Amino acid sequence: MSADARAAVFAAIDAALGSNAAHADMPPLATPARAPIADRHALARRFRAELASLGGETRFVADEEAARAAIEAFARERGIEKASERDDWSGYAVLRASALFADTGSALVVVSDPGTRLAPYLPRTCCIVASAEDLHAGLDSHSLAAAFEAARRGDCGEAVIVTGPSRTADIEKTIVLGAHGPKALAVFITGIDDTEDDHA
Amino acid sequence: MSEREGAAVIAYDRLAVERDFADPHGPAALFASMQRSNDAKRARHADVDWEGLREQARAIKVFAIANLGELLRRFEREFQARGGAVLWARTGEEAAGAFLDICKRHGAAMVVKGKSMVSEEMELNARLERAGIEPVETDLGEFIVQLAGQRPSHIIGPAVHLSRQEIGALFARELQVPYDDDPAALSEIARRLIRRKYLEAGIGMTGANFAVAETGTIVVVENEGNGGLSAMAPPVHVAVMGIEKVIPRLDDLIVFLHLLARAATGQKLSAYTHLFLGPVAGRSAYCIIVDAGRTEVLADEHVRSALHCIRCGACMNVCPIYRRAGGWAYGWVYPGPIGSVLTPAMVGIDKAGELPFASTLCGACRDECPVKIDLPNQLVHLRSEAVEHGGHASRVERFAVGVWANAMRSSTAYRRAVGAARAGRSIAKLFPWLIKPLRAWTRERELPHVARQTFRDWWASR
Repeated sequence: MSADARAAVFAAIDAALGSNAAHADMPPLATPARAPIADRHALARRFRAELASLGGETRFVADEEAARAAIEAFARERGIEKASERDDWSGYAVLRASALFADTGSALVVVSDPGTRLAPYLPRTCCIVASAEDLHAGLDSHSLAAAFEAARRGDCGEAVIVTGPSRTADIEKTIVLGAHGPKALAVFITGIDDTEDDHA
Repeated sequence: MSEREGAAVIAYDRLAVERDFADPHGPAALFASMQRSNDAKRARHADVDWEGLREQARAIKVFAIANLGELLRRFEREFQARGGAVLWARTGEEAAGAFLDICKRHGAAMVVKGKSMVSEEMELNARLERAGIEPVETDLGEFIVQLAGQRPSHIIGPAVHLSRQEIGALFARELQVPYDDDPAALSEIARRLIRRKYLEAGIGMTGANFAVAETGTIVVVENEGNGGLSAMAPPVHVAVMGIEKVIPRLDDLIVFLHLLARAATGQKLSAYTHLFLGPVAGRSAYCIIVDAGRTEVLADEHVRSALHCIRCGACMNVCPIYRRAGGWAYGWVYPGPIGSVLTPAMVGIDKAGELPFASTLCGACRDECPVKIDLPNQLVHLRSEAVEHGGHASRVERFAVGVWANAMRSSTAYRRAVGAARAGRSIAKLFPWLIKPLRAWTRERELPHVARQTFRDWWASR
């Protein structure tokens, strides 16, 4: 049935377009050349402000080890443990971001391991670790390179841009966090001196 | 394609219009819609070149539609190369049949559904239920309208027509939970209920906001996380999309991501932008690509650009008719100005010929559209189609237009017509029953005044 349908759909497209088919020019690639990042610290602050406006939080830490310690402290503060099916995913999961976008407070996470494919969605709290080196101003082909390369390589799974905690406004437009995904989202950026930020 | 969709089309639902106009909750839905529109306006000008992006998006869509066959073939090839299977459907019914075949093949007794307007076209829930398969809407708004046994009234806010009190009463009645009208509490009830379903379902279904030909990538944009869970939790993911969703390159996606959330909800980006790359080990992925009347739209150059629509709902939010009449008045899946174009173009002017008249032609939809679809001109074109196909102009209307056309043919005829109108107005004031055929128009309006003398007469008398 689908083979017949396929042929019929393509025949209908060809008939509908007639001589107009393929006459449009390929539009030039939309993304302009990127400006070099002058102040990564300012970018990190912008990221933090954007994410805060969406109900998420950002912590600046020196390195990976400090990030691990900060996540443990963050979990202790909230009285939560690593999420599992046993506790109905009420705990937290830790993800690694390939890129952060300051303009939107977003993190790009590429998930190709079947075992962790639900980590961005099931736990009540989501912790994301990223390097300051992966901070970008906004969405463009350079900042999305990790996702685009995975797609072009033929990797499996998904690349997801996470912009704040899960949310809904389906009831009288009242925003409620934690609709189906995490209610809390914390991003830990390594390679940023928190003390320096406090003085900024 | 000769076979057209639309058995379920009610066309322009006059009863729904009357009911919605009388609905005391109407103003709340109107407010929500206006608020959404205002949020969108504030966000879009904040930090992007909105007009530049709109122009880029339009150019990409023009190219994609002109090269539709080639891009769909490329998408199919790339999707298959990554382990997915592509199925094709001429009609919504055929698409539902293909979906049911997948359910049978994988022994699925339950389907969790992310938001998909195409699945509404397919009437998938009803068809699944008839086959003994439980469909579970996971988007909160869709879940609410499914529970209420209703259709969505807005493509972005499906339950915008219901108040929190109505939803609280609905949950108490249908889910046997204590009454609560706090949106957070209601959302939590739905979350807990649906959560287990993701892990139990045999199939997860999503729509597709975009399909990237270059890499066979399905892109889904959403806020709740239900799209991610529907696609990634069950062992099988089925994406259902119209033929027009294909875009050429990954880089083109950036333009649409900048536009979509800003136009739809006023966000800079939605909470989740998923690029589904291909099924992970041990899992399956399908993509059902549906025509269902889209090639009819493609064949008509006057309305072809309606296929550029990215389903943001912005045209509805600014439309004075939609704001007052609500989504159900449009009788089919797509409400608002875009629905008034798509529905008659997809299902046939004979089935939905009244919809293009449900517009003031104010142009707000065209100004708002992130991909610059010229909706007012398309509505005018479809109006003329509707009139040509007959049945959409009353005898009185045809008579009046005939008189007007004759009057405009010469200055003498025009002079006589003005004189007759002047006399006619005086007679109508004395004998109002004479204008009974116009009562729908005159019930809330006076007949227009006719000047005592024409400009030419005044000029000649100086």
